[in-house]
Amino acid sequence: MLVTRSFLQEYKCTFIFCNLPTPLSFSLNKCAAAKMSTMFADTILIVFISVCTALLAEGITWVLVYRTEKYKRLKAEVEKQSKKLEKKKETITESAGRQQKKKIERQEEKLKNNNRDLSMVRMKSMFAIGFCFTALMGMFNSIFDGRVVAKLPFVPLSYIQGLSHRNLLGEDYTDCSFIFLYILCTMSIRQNIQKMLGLAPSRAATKQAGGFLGPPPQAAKFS
Amino acid sequence: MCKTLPRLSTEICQLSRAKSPQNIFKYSGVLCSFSVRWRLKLCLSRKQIWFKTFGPVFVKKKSRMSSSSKRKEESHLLNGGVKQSTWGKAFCSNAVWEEKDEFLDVIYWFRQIIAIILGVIWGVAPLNGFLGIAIFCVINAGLLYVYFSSFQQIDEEEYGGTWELTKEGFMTSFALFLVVWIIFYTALHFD
Repeated sequence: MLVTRSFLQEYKCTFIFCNLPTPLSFSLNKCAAAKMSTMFADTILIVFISVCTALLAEGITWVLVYRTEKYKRLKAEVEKQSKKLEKKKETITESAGRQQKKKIERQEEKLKNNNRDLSMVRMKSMFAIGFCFTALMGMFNSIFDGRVVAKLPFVPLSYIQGLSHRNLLGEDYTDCSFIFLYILCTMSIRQNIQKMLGLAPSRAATKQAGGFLGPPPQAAKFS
Repeated sequence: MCKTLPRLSTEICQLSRAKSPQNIFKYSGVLCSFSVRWRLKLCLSRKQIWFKTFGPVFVKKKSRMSSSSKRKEESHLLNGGVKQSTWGKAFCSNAVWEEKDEFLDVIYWFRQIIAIILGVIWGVAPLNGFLGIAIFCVINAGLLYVYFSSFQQIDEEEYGGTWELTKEGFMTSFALFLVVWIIFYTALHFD
């Protein structure tokens, strides 16, 4: 972290130095080239930071949650129940008996409870990650404050411009701020890392867990 | 062993239609041989004969091994992991997909690959504006639709319909496309 900060501050100094007025056009061109390479270096650095933070988040979650017996047991239980429930829902018809429908409702209730317990177990890591990342974001925001880190090949929609052009001078909305690029990188990289490491929850469990925040997809069918 | 062998021989007689139980005692030595045991196992329809005498050690070991290796395969397949044979199936037309998740993972990773390729092409070309985004969406959705409906010829209803297959991994691939596009555009065309 200290190495990264000193590295970034060095770039800041280079940036400021290159913007000082000089009589020679050669030095101006050199400054423009340095500016461009600085911007590209920032872009690559932000992607690298995003990869590191995604790995850090998964690492923290693994230490606090994934390797615990309770989590493994709950996860296996949820996946088993989700698959069972899905298979039952596929085979059952509209004219199924009341007993069968009640059985399914009971299984859904059981699954919902297990999902809730699973979420509680993950809550620990979410707090830890939230705390770390708030500190990290504060640091990166101060480092990249007012800096154009990339050029967007499109003009974002007006309600996204608040994020993509955050703390940047000028009216050129193709200038990209740190936070927008970081969010895009996190959205793309984190889920891929989770899938590659085999840490993503199964689809059946995710589908049933949707009922924890809102009604499950087929609840109305049997009510 | 002496008590069970006559009983076994009677049962085997009934199934293998031997002329008399006494003849079976001639084959008791042969019965102990491995190959005859396995042939008997295949011929005899009643599992309890096998389990009573020669079967338990071999069958239990085999079932333990097969279930643990099956579990290993299953755990490797769960949560997005993709086996070598899965990719082999992905490039064969009309492949049989036993696990729904397996095919959905293939769709997911194909979307990510398409996003990276199109991001590079759009960044190098360069293709600017919302036209680039629109063309990406059309190509991404269209290519995968052709893949699962024409190439693999799967039953969309089994996977929850065309919409479920279309939205599998779409947002992640869109974000990845934007990142790659921005990187290449910034690197090659910023003026």
